[in-house]
Amino acid sequence: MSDAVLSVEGLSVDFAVGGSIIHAVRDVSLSVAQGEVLGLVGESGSGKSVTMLSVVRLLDARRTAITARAMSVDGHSILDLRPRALEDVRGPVVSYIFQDPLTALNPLLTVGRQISEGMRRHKGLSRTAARARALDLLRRVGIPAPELRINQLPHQLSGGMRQRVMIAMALAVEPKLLIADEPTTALDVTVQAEIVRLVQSIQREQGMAMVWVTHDLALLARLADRVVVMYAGRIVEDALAEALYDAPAHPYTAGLLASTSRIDDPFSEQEPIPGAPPDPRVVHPGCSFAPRCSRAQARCQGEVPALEIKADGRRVACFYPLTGSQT
Amino acid sequence: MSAPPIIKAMGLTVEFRGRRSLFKPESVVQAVSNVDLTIEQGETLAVVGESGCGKSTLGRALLRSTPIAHGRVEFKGRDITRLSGRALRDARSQFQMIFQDPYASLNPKMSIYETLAEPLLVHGATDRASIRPQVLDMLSAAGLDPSFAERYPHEFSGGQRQRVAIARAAILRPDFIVCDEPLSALDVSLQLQILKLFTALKQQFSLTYLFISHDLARVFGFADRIAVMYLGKIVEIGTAADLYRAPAHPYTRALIAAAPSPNPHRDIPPAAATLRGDIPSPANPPKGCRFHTRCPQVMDVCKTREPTMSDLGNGQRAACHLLTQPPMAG
Ligand SMILES: Nc1ncnc2c1ncn2[C@@H]1O[C@H](COP(=O)(O)OP(=O)(O)OP(=O)(O)O)[C@@H](O)[C@H]1O
Ligand SMILES: Nc1ncnc2c1ncn2[C@@H]1O[C@H](COP(=O)(O)OP(=O)(O)O)[C@@H](O)[C@H]1O
Ligand code: SF4
Ligand code: SF4
Ligand SMILES: [Mg+2]
Ligand SMILES: [Mg+2]
Repeated sequence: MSDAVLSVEGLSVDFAVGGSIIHAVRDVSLSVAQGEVLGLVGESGSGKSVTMLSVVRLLDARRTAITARAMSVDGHSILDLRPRALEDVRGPVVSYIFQDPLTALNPLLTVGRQISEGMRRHKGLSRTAARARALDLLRRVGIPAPELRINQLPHQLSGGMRQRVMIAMALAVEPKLLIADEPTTALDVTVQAEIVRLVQSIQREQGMAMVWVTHDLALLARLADRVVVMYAGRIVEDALAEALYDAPAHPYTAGLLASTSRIDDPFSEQEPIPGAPPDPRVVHPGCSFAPRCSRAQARCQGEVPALEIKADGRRVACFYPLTGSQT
Repeated sequence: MSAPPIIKAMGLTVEFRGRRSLFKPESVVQAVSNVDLTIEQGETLAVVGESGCGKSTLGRALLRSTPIAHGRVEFKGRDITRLSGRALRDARSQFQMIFQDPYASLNPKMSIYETLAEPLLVHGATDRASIRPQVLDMLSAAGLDPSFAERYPHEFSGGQRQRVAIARAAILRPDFIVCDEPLSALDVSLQLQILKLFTALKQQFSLTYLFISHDLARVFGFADRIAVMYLGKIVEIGTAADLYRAPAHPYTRALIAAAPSPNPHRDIPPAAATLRGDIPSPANPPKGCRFHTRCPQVMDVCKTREPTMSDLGNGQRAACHLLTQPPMAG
């Protein structure tokens, strides 16, 4: 795709842990177009963070084997970049919001310094101009009394406020691509709803591309244009949001959707997926979902289903996908 | 006359004292403030609310495992507020608690068999021969293979460990179980499995639950009644059906509006129902209605006068000035 801000082809990531190899990500290909919001969903350990951290090259290279046919952000080929050039891509081109803001914020620097830093470095703003813009951003992300907060240290803020600061930091440099890795998972639903709304309005205004990583399909229903579902390190489905919620094709997507909290559905009709996700150290010869799949047949045990493009444009990795008429 | 409720709390208040220092006067946090509550035999009462609002403290106070500052707690009609020593231990043996982190709540050195047998032994199972079948029966009731008995907690996934913790809590057939966020460490696909397990065990052993959760959508269909807490107070309580159909408190409405739904066609909640800002510090709660700093419908009276509970019929109660003095028109 020519207008893709992010394009990943055939990414695999292995970790060496103790005596074993963890195949965290296997043959993942995805792209995000300009202005598009991609939801990346899957259970914990399914490889969502490792995929996105590979894109910004934030994994420890000594213990990690990353391979890919190609990987680019806004035309920069990520795998070939030297550390210096990488620094120029992180920030102005792609910004990352982490799940835990405390590990990502510098405990010794004031909120204002941290937000201003990127703007001074990448946008060449003066100290005063950067500070004025930081103040404006804090206000925009809903921090009360920003004049007070701008001079405080991260530990003086509540969890919700820290996450807002992270968002302000990420937006300060007006990136082409924003990666939000479960930024609201640790927050209360009311605060989560406000932050989602906020990021969404800024995303639309700036027209940036965004990847929102979460384990909660419900959260993405009104946020994402397209949803990619991961299971055990692989993409199992990739579809436009509306199509995916209306008629999931992969049995795992369908199970996940049926397991999701829903305020408006009778509990007795909600059906859980049986069993648990597989051990990432074990390589399954067939489809990783087979032990939990009600549609599994003999073929699924010995052969890995390829991610194939269907007539409606969605990608599905399943020998016996659900079709509209079967649901 | 019908049987007394399993649990009845009246004016229940729990206070924590902050550390006094040279520069700070002693501060008192009312983690639970003047709560009235009854839980009937066989019922599931869910308690929902944001982090720090006092859900866990309320659960612990009902079990008498945190000091009570004011008010009283009755267990099956008997006042247990001031019990101590042997009498308190006896009352507590009818209670169980299940926690968020199944890893922390299981002893890593004990096999699953020992984990489940221990409460039976501690509570004086005299007939040792009956222990093994009881443990194996409980394992299968909890959806675990009896062959797991000789294995250890670290060999299990989070969901399986939570099953073990639940099996251990249920094996003594307690009268009352407080479940403190037992789902929040689990993935979405496992949460529903565990909720179904709670339902099955409740039916099988006629259990009564206080079920603490910050996820209103998750407990809506599962609980019989729901209590919504905000900064130490219950602001609304009622059946799940009534709270969904006719939420009376603006905070309940905000929680419902904020709950994400996997239905992209569900109506977008009106901006008026959504909240702004973070929850204030419980050490220094707002005057008047504690919710007034975030309430989309705040009126002048809310800033000075605390609203009292209004009875809305069918056991639904809510504390909001809108229910007693509607805002002036214009
Ligand atoms: N042992 C304690 N000493 C001092 N303060 C405490 C203690 N336990 C709880 N608190 C305070 O009491 C209030 C209520 O805490 P509680 O743990 O009951 O909240 P919660 O609703 O369970 O929150 P969460 O959803 O985060 O678990 C909080 O302000 C908390 O900081
Ligand atoms: N730094 C690391 N070292 C070793 N294993 C890791 C590391 N980071 C992630 N993993 C493993 O890789 C797999 C995928 O992890 P991750 O991408 O973090 O999952 P998700 O974000 O979907 O929850 C998991 O099995 C996880 O334990
Ligand atoms: S390939 Fe087979 S086991 Fe895998 S999801 Fe499809 S039907 Fe189920
Ligand atoms: S009493 Fe006032 S501030 Fe409190 S919830 Fe009702 S309207 Fe809102
Ligand atoms: Mg992650
Ligand atoms: Mg708690």
